[in-house]
Amino acid sequence: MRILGPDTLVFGVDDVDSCATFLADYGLTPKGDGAFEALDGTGVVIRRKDDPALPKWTLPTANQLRKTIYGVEDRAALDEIAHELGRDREVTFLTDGSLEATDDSGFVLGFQVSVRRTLTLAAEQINAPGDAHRGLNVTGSPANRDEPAPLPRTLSHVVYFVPDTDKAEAFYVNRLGFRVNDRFTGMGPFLSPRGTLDHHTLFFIQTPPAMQGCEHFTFHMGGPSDVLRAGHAFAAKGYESFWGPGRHRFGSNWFWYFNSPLGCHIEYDADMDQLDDSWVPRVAPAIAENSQEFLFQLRETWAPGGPPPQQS
Amino acid sequence: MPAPAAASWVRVCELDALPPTGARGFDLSGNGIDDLFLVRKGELLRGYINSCPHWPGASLPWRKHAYLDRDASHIVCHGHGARFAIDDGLCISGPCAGQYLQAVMLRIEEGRYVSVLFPMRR
Repeated sequence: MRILGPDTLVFGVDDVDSCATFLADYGLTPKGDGAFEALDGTGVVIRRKDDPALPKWTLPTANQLRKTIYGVEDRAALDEIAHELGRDREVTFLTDGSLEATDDSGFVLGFQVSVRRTLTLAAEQINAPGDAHRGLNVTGSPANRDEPAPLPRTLSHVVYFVPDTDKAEAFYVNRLGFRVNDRFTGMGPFLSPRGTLDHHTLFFIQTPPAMQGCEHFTFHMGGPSDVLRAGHAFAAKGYESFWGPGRHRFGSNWFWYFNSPLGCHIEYDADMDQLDDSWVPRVAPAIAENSQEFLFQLRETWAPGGPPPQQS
Repeated sequence: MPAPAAASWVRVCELDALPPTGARGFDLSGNGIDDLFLVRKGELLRGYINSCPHWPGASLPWRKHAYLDRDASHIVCHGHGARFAIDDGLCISGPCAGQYLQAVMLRIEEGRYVSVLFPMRR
């Protein structure tokens, strides 16, 4: 059962126009009909909250992640998921060839043969003494100050607030073959499906039932500088930094979170750890020092020095 | 040891500079995050510290000055969607339901300037 990761997140929102501008400024490409894509075709779909085409909404939370659509490797994987989930719940076969079912926490899931395209873009290249990678005469800082901000490459992960992380985890591990790669006690587990090496595509945070919903979602960037560049450009457009930039401990991903008109956070990340079956999951208390290695805060550009000395 | 905080009146803008219905944030400390925001809706004028009671210190807007919902009926924290009454800052839905935004004292000076009683470090 090879699930690659989330292909598309479908949100119901109050203000479609604001959300559309926001997602385009974040760096996703508008594809029409509320769809916004990263470079590999994964992305976000926004619809008005009352759009009857959306799965029904039963939670009190203000943000409305109405559906998480997973990309799977092939048709055989879809059949396997349909068989497995069909044992104890309704599985709907949609006309576009995808499946729809609900997880044990109440989140609506979709499964489709993945839309993601394989990217051939290079990662951010750096030079270090003894190990130079960028190439001769290639500048690491863009040659022009008006260079467009780097674009999100692929949908990385989604984070759910859930009232029972054990129950939520059990569904993804026992029914969909996800593995737990690390865990914060008192908060929740980091999970990834079998079709990716990423440290996490899914994370749960234990909260009171009234908060169940989406805490944030994230796209991978080409490297740490891309996170800083994209976040800096996004903030310069007036968007509100929430947390970061910084670097997480578990997963090692660089992060920068922003508030959003979708009512949850959105993040840029880069350089997440890749793991195989020899990885031994860690457990640590959910404290600030374990959450991040370091944290910085945006400030306006500034340079030491002042105007030239006055001529006498 | 940091000096104890003391509140002082700070003139932040002219009343006419505020939209008749809307909000405006002020970064008085120069930290890159608004310290407080004003909300005006007709005759109603209120000021609150920009900190969500759910996660104190968390900033509310999704964009500079974007503190309200689309029809300007509530203040919204765009971290997790908590909604607050404009007139008293009470959270009516969301993770901090029943808690209040911290109000700041306002006064109109010389009939046209809005001043806020802002806790500042000396």
